[in-house]
Amino acid sequence: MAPQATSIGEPIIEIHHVSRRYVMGAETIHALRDVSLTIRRNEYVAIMGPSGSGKSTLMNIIGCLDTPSGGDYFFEGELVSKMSDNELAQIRNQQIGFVFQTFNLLARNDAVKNVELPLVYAGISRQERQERAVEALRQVALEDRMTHKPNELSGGQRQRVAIARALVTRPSIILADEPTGNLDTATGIDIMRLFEDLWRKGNTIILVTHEEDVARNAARIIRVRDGKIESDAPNPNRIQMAATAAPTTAPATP
Amino acid sequence: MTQFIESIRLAVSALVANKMRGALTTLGVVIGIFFVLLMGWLLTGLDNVLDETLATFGDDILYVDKYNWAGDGDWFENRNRKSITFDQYQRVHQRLASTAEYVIPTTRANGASVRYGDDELTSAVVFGTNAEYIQMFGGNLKEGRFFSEIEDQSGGFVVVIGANVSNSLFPKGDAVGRVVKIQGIPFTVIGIMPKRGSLLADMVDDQLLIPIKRFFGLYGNSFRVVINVKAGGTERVEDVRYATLGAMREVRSIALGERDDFSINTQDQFRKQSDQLRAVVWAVGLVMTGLSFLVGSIGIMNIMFVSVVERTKEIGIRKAIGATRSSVLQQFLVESILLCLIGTAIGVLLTSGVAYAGAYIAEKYWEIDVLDSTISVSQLVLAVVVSVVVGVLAGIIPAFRASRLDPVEALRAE
Ligand SMILES: Nc1ncnc2c1ncn2[C@@H]1O[C@H](COP(=O)(O)OP(=O)(O)O)[C@@H](O)[C@H]1O
Ligand SMILES: [Mg+2]
Repeated sequence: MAPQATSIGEPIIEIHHVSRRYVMGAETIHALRDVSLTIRRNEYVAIMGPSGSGKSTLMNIIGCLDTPSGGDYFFEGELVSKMSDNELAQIRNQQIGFVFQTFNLLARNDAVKNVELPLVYAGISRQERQERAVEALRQVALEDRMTHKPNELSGGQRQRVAIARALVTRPSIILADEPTGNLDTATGIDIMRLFEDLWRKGNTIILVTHEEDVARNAARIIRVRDGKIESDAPNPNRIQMAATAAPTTAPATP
Repeated sequence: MTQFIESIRLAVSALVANKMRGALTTLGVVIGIFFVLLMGWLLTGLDNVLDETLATFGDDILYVDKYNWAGDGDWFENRNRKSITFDQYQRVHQRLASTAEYVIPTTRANGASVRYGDDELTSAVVFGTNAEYIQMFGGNLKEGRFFSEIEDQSGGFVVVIGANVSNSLFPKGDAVGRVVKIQGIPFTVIGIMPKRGSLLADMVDDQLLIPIKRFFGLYGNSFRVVINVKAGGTERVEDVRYATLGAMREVRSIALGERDDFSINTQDQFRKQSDQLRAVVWAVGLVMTGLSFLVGSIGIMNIMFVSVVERTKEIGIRKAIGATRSSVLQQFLVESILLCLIGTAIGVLLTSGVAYAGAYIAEKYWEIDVLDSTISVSQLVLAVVVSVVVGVLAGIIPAFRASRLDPVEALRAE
């Protein structure tokens, strides 16, 4: 097995006995039940499970988009349930990069503007925003598509823009919820190469998928079923991909 | 700051994407701004009338008459008072000569018969006064001259006519030198008064001014005289009023402790008329403005709600990448304010057009020159402030709702 680019570091995410319930009228849906896990810096984790098993719910909680109904979640040692709305927004902005299945780009904005967006909320000047967005697009090999709007890009290109947007604030972790779900196999492989690349440069990556082929790239696989963790173990069948054509520049994480 | 600039950019692009809808929505605001500015424009015109009136007559003139012009006191008691006579005028004049700038007698007879050839005027006012009258009002005539002191003394058969009289009897403008008949007696027209406008019905334009001696010759000696006392500066009015009171009481032989049998009137009647008009303009303007803005802000609130619903997904995305509640709130508020400002801009253009055309038409066809042809800067500032307030009020609830959206829920939206 090839050596990792950097060694696994201190815990970033510590989840203790977390549950998430949705109350719908008389019915209560237990999307997560008593989930505990720890993820350290520069891990490459896949969260697997069938549809409806609670993967997205877990991902949203990890990403501070959602809050648990019970249990404790520490992000970089801080208790998330104690944080204000603004602090949560700041964590989403600075520490977490989201990649979604449906890309979630703003249709009216071109690639550069989309990538710049998190930096706007970080209060960064126009000049620096532009430079960093261009740099992030270069990392995903899209420097020749900067001024294209989402509807002028292919699915794979859109997902690269979304990844560039996730990278641009140099977050602690990248969360990807079914990032290849809307892409054909070849393009999906491209995107997976990109994640591998980012991981090698020192990023922490958490990937949600229901496809074994996709999960195989991760170093650790957490299996979820009915809102519970079924298994959590290193991936013995890990396939490490060749480096992408994307030029390797400075690590995305400082 | 960067976020604020970004909000403006966003609002512009959101509005550009929905041009037609935005344009319709702003209609209420357009009309509201139109009424606000129109009201301001009319009130400014009214102020101009008042200023002009006061400037012409001076706001330092006291009118001594047996009647109280403001309508205070018992009218029947007023009527039963003895009229001020020309003789009393002369004695008051003597006593005030060193105190007041001018002391001038005037008399008027309404509904005089005035003829030139076959043309007859029925609504004319014959006005008797002396040569100093024109000096008291700045001395300017439109044409010709005013009667002289010699004509005063001799009671000459000369007349200075108002602008309306001139226009009616001499449409060609060749009045000076012609002979008109007043009550059947021929008078030579020697001058024409400048146009005064008719917004405040002081009827100077309908007057025929003749030497007061001649007036008594026409109408009899007992005709009621009004004594015009010009103080010579507003700061002197109180002193002169006091002196006038004393002189009048003496001349009219009013014993100590007895009540005055005359009134000392001021320009208040112009102010009263102007205030009444002003109140009407205000009331109508406020109601129209209020209604328009109500409709306008409901429209904008509605469109903002639609906008929030349509862009739920976008809000979710923005929140996922770090937008705070306040930045989402700000984004939608800026958009709402911008909508209002667009409405304001259109309203300003519309009102400017109306003001320009209105001033032009009023001047050209009615010789009313008190209306400004532009909207004043202070009115524009007011309009902008009002529209920002309306934008905030109309946008705050939709914007607040947007800011409170749950990010996960919002992301699920299509
Ligand atoms: N907002 C919600 N309201 C009610 N039930 C929900 C909501 N979100 C998710 N669920 C339920 O929670 C369970 C887990 O959903 P999810 O985490 O989206 O699963 P996965 O991503 O693994 O497909 C499902 O049964 C789903 O129906
Ligand atoms: Mg899911």
